[in-house]
Amino acid sequence: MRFRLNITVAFLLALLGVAVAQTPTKLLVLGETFSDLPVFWDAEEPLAPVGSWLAALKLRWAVRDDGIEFETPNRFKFFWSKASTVVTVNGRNVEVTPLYQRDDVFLVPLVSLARALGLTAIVNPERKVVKLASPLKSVEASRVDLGCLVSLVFGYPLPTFPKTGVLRQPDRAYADFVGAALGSMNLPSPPESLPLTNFRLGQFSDDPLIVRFVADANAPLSIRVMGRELTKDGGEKWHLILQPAENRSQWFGQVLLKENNPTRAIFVLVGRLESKLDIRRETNTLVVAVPMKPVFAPDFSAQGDGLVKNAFLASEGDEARLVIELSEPANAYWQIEGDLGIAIVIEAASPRQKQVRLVVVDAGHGGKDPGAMSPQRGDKPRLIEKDLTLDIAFRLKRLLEGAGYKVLMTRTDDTYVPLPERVAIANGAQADAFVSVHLNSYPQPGGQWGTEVYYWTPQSYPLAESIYRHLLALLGRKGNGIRRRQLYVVRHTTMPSVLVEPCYLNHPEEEELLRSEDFRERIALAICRGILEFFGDLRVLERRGE
Amino acid sequence: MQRGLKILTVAFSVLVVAVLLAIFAFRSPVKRPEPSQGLRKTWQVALCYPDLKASRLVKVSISISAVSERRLIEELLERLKNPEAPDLSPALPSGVRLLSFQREGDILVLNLSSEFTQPDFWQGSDVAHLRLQAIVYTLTSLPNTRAVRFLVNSQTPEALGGHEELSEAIEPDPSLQP
Repeated sequence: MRFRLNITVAFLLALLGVAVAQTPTKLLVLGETFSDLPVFWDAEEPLAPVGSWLAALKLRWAVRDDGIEFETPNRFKFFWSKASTVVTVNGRNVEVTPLYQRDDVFLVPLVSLARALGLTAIVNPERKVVKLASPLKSVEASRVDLGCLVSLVFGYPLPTFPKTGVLRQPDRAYADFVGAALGSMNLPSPPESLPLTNFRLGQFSDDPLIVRFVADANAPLSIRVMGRELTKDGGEKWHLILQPAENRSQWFGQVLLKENNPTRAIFVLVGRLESKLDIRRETNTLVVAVPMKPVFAPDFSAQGDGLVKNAFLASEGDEARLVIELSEPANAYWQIEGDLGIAIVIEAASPRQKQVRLVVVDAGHGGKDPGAMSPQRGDKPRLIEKDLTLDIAFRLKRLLEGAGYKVLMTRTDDTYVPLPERVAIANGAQADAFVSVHLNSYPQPGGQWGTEVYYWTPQSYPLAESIYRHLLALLGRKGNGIRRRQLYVVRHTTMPSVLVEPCYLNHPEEEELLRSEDFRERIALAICRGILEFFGDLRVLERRGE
Repeated sequence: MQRGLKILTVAFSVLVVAVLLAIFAFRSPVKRPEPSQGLRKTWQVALCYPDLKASRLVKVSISISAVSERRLIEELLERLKNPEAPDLSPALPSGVRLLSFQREGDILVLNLSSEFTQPDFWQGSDVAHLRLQAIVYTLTSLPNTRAVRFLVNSQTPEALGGHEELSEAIEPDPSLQP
């Protein structure tokens, strides 16, 4: 009888224990959230099964029979076994809870992991939330030729570049560090010779964790990332440069290898570099000429088994050359990388080389969807977007075919073609490029004018840039920019694709221009020249004098 | 010895009953009171609007008290039609009404009145995109909301202004992060 009771009680207690232990937990790892992880709470500290959440820490790990071998982003290796109560990370002995093993899966003690890596662990057992954050450890500020250099040191490398921005009334600049937690520290005072009045820090968000650095000023400021360094103790130092907003001088902070995969690699030249970069290809080597030397040493820490075999920066007088050795022939182009500077994108050459290129030309709107309409002005007929886009699309088709291209149109008359169908036409034909022709409109007629080109995927940027440049050159309108937007047709097409808005249909001057056949022909010619330049065929038109 | 065994047996029995009761108590669904006029809840929401130049989204963080999620969404839609600051532009056409809403996992499905697809409001690729994204960014600031799907009179509408496809749920465009 007593034996039976003991078994029952033990069974029920075990059930209760498992129910408590396996309550779903929210784990915030730097900038990433993992919900419903089967974290175990019945031990000394929460334990999480080895899994993809470790990748959010940019850790590499290999599971062995007796434990796990880790490698940090700073290339420190350490082994953590089932018996370890101490692990040695970069010569530092850290007390840890031994790894727990359940059903052949290792469970990692989260607080110990944080201690070993230099992270901060914020644990809330009641709400079943664990946050692993990189602690902000110190802030330094100094006056340099370019302005005020602010350096922030974190205990562990952050997942992304900080996001910078400026705000007005009162003037201030900020930088947001995702995945960071605020610690107690002394903030330096800003250098006096600049319009800076004060520095502030705050925990801007708890989910995701974001630390915001703010520089108050009494005049408009600009703020940019200038460089990044991995520190010797496994942390990371971010350098920001604060300048008066009117300062437009060029500078080059650092070159970073941001990505290095077998088919694609990206270098970022952090800085304000105005001149177009010259990229020279010599068999498996790329040489990028940069007009000045960088302030900080290059960071090629992402170098791995990717397209880039080796890279180094060579100085030549006041200039610098970035030499990139590739594992195979590849194409390279540059593009603006937001506020950071310029990215050099290297892509493995496609094995498929077509004889004749196919371009899908998409005349926007049609049928029951007229698109934008010009306002009624006197006796003049109103312009309707769907009619003009079709007219320009036909002109573009003629020009492209004249240059030896194949052209497929998503519509050839006034019919309504749903957006998914337009995308399916381009993807199904395995086109080499997709160009959607539109004409813009602004809520207040006459309130906006000029040229815009939209793209989404990075592979589409060079096409967008090329078409945009030719539109500005041939139309002479104001350039409103090349904008990255998730518009349906550019998002879902699989080839380089852009949506062009050469001008505004409801701006009086541009409306008048659009009434002219010559102007519409120039729009088509500019788009055509942009496409041809993208494919390296511009000389075809030039030979014919067009 | 016999008496001691009996006491131990009774004690174990009481413990077993207590544990069973505790498990059932934890497993029983907790009935929440239906929202009523007197029971208001406060939500922290990030309202997003296109700026006047339609070049970016601007975020306005507010807290709203409402008696139900439906009232909260109605309130948000009203505010999206009429931004308070003069340097912001509306994200929704005036006259749009919320007919119903539902949740499909982390997707919020809004069933709106036909004024939503008013063509004049959605002219211009970027203006239309910013306006739609302002709505999406605002509604995905609600808890457990990753994306928004739009219905008009319970039907999937045609592309909005010829630029935005509404047949699938729309997530925030990361390039417009306000």
